[in-house]
Amino acid sequence: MTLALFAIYFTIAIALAFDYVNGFHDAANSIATVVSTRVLSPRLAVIWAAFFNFIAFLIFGTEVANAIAKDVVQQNILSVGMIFAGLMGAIIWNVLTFYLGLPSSSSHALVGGMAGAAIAKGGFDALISEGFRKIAVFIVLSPLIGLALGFVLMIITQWSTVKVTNVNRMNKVFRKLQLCSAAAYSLGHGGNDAQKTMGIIMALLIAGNQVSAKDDLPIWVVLAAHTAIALGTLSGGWRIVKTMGSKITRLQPQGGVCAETAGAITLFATSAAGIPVSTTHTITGAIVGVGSARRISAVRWNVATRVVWAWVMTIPAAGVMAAVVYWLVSVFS
Amino acid sequence: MMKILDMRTRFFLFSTLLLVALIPLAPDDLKFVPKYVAIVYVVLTIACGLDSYSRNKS
Repeated sequence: MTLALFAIYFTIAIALAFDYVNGFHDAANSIATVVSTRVLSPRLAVIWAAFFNFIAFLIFGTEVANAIAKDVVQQNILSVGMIFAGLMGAIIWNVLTFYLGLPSSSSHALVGGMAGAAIAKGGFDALISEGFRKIAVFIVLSPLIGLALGFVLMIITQWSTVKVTNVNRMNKVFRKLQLCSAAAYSLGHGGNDAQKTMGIIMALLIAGNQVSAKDDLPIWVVLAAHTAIALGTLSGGWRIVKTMGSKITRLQPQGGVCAETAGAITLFATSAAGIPVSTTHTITGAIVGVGSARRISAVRWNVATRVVWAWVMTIPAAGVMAAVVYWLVSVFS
Repeated sequence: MMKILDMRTRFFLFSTLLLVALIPLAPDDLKFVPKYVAIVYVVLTIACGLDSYSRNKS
């Protein structure tokens, strides 16, 4: 095996490790509402989410993967060292926010990392402005769409259950429905997030001349990415469950169903359109939407503000870390 | 004016303005997304404003 080939396989292993960490980090988003409303035990909830993360490849195409591989960084800038640096920047930021208990986005850390490493290598011209603009616009749009959907769904379910007198029975029905909404959200999470890793691996294979930019994504890449994210989800991320499930707003089964359904609808639509969005931002927006439909004070706005700051910081922070790693890689190689 | 608007209405109003600002930034084939989401937020802002007004009145 040549050194170049070893570098490609080593970076693929890092990409899959990132996918694993993504599943681990974002498991909280898939299961926070199910766990906090006590529909499933934490152990069962992660198994449920991991299963639907894995089978997402049967439903979604590879548009998001293609967008990450071909629409963010100019093809002539792509190199194994640059992608390695981008991944490392994202991983460092993810680990940092994990220990701080902040639901920042792994996806935006990845995009920020890739952009930072690309800028370090080729300046601002290294970015494809149209592709980067699309991702940047949907950074803001996806949580707002999730929020509006969560709000509207919550109002509809509240109105449709206003005459229900047996609250326990109603909660029982929503607990069962929550299994479906959590499954749908996990499908969306697997579909959108695993594809980002597929995109990175595809970019690596293109940079290493293993495949051409016109080739389809190899099936082993699809299976490896979904396996990694599902295994990460199985490991779970409990610090963020706390923030997502109870600190922003306290959810009842009815609210859990609305939040997850709103998140799932947003993720299905964006995955179908080939737009990489943050699953974390989407579900957080949906949870805030559900909370604000109940009553104004149901949302802890100071926690929500802290979350928004973590979002704003993600792309530049991951970008700077990736640029530093790229500089180190360049010096030592 | 700000006293009349509660936190939720102010949030929806701010989001509406943000969405309007995103319309020219969005790629041409996706401009319809911030446009329609902005319309939804206008409706939500008005609904929340009226809700807040009626609560204050009562």
